[in-house]
Amino acid sequence: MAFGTIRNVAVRGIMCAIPDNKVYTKQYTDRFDADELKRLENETGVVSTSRVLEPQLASDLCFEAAEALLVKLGWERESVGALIYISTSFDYTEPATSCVIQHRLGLSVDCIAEDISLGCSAFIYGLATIGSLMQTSDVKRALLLCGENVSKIADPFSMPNLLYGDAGAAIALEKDMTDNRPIRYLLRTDGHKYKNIFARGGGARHPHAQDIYTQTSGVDVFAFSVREVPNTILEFMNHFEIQSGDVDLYAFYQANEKVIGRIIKWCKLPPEKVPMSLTKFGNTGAASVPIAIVTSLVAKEREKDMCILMSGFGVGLSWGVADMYLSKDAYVDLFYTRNYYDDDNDCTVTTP
Amino acid sequence: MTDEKKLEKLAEMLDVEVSELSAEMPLSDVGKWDSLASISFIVLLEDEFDKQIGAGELKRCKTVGDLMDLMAE
Repeated sequence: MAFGTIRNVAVRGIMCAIPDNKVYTKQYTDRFDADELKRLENETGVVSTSRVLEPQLASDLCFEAAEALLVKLGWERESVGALIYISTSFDYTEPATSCVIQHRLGLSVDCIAEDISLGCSAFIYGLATIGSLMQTSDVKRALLLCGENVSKIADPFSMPNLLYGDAGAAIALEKDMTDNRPIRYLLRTDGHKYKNIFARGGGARHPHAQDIYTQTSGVDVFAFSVREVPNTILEFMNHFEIQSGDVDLYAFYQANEKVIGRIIKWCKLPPEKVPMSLTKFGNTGAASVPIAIVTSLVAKEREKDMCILMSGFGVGLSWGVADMYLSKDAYVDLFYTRNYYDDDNDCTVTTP
Repeated sequence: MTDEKKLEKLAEMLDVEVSELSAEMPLSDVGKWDSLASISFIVLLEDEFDKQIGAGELKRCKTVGDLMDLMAE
């Protein structure tokens, strides 16, 4: 059992960067039947996604989000003590993508930088990891970056992969001894099902295999999502004695409408508190939970601090539940970008 | 629920005419039986039969009749 409680760490802002390249599910008639595309849209709720431009990567989206958030919060670069990049999309075999982002952001060498390889459960694991790190160190400010460019690593000729969108999110956290509202979490992993979402080739075990694209056993993953996830959410709520009325927003991994609908049903949650950002952005993997939060709060006046309960679940299979408070003056925003990193010239370039 | 009613439910879910389905029909011959339809079937069982099944039980189904057996109340 991995229940945890982090104290005196506050979320100061969540910024999401979306690639400026919107595509509609119904427009892929070059490779799929139009009726089947309509059915996919109806069954899953995904009308459109945004996908990275040719030279763009998840790390570019995360960099843009982090850069904008640092400027907005007025944080000095030297004040950031840790950066964690969590994703299934990495720039290079080595070094860690977080090291490259640390360089691009101009952070200090005293800033810890590390990667974690997780997708759907990224935000929950990332929050637990970076919060724990802050609690046991003298790091006062930290950045958690969750991003994905699944459109580059999922088979383009497999229709369910049209549900994936790309996005990057940056979450700013700060130690605050006056804020005693905890971040709480419950984490689980079922590695016995590691082949349920699987890219066999391209890694060190099968470096020359052709099957480099991620393959998903849709029915197995759906059955897992609608059984284990509601049970884990209920277990989390029981353990920490949370009533559904205590929660202002439920931000779930945006797999598809049916999965989220099942969770609402089995956990008896109020649907109006459960955002569905997947309609517009699709399933953005690691960035999915932050996008669900931001899209439901952006440009809205928040009258009070909000309790947000979150769950991410998928590749691993890995899943988790967490809750946190977002104060009413915490910054949340979302923007579109055409920028990417030119590593030969060490500069940011805008795609025409 | 009668077998006729179960076939009607499956036909509606698959968006085919009920006359196109029979209990003996192998699922491999049902053109619209794919992963999306499998997911819809899991949802149908939960909503209308208050029954949860795993992916393993679904994979063992070879015919339309096997699905109808799972639709027992």
